[in-house]
Amino acid sequence: MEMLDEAYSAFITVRVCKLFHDFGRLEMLETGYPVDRDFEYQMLYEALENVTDNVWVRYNDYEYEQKLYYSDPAMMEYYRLCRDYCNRFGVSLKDNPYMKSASDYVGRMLNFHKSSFMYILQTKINHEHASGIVVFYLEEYFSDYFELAEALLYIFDFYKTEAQKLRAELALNSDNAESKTKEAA
Amino acid sequence: MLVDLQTFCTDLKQAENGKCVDDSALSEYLVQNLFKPYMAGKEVRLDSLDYDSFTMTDLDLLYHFMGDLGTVGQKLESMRSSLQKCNPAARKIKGFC
Repeated sequence: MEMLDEAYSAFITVRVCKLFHDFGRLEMLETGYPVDRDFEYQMLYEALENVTDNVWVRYNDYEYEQKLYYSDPAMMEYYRLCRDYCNRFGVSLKDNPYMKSASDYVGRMLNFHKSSFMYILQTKINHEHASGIVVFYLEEYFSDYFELAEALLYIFDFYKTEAQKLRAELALNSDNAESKTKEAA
Repeated sequence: MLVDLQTFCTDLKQAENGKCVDDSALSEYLVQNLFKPYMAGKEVRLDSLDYDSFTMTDLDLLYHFMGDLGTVGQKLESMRSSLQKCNPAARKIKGFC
């Protein structure tokens, strides 16, 4: 029985590796150690710190509060393209369907356990890492490490694929506009 | 509690010989390369696993399987504990071994 309990914790490390492998980020994790329950939390912390290339971690010893900031080039590009979309189609950021779609997606992915952590979605583009997600949690009450890492991987994958779609839509619109101008001339 | 050891042994002999938990849906790769060696106390390294050989669902199924094994284990443990608490009782009719 004890062995099964140990296996349950130890296999979390395999679960994390599998998750990162499926998102093409396995090389970001340290995998040179055995499947062992002693590495469970080390692996979970490592997962949270490696879901994207740009992660800043700040730990408040006094309040046991962990604060992480995640940013990603694809996310930055997505919000830049959102602004292009606004200029092209004459809509405000608030009414931009792509802004709403991203915010809804992030909300859906991160609202799985509302009480255990908080997040803020930043959509600015005024500096290199202005777009990002701030996550706060209190060590004492937080246990959804795997779920949070998984949700963040899905979110940054969303920005990557959706940025491509948005770029394609803007390019198509640009081509159409050019051909109309030529026809008119 | 009284246990008739003769009936108990007869029941055990007559019990169907089979698996206590269904493992038919498990990934063969995970069973052979992770579960069995780990439970046998052998070292399984994270970098030795082929992550293309199983899916996240396979891992979920393995967890379910382990949960079911745990339940069976608890039942066995409770039976063992009950048997251990039994006091020896004399037969009603005298007999010779």
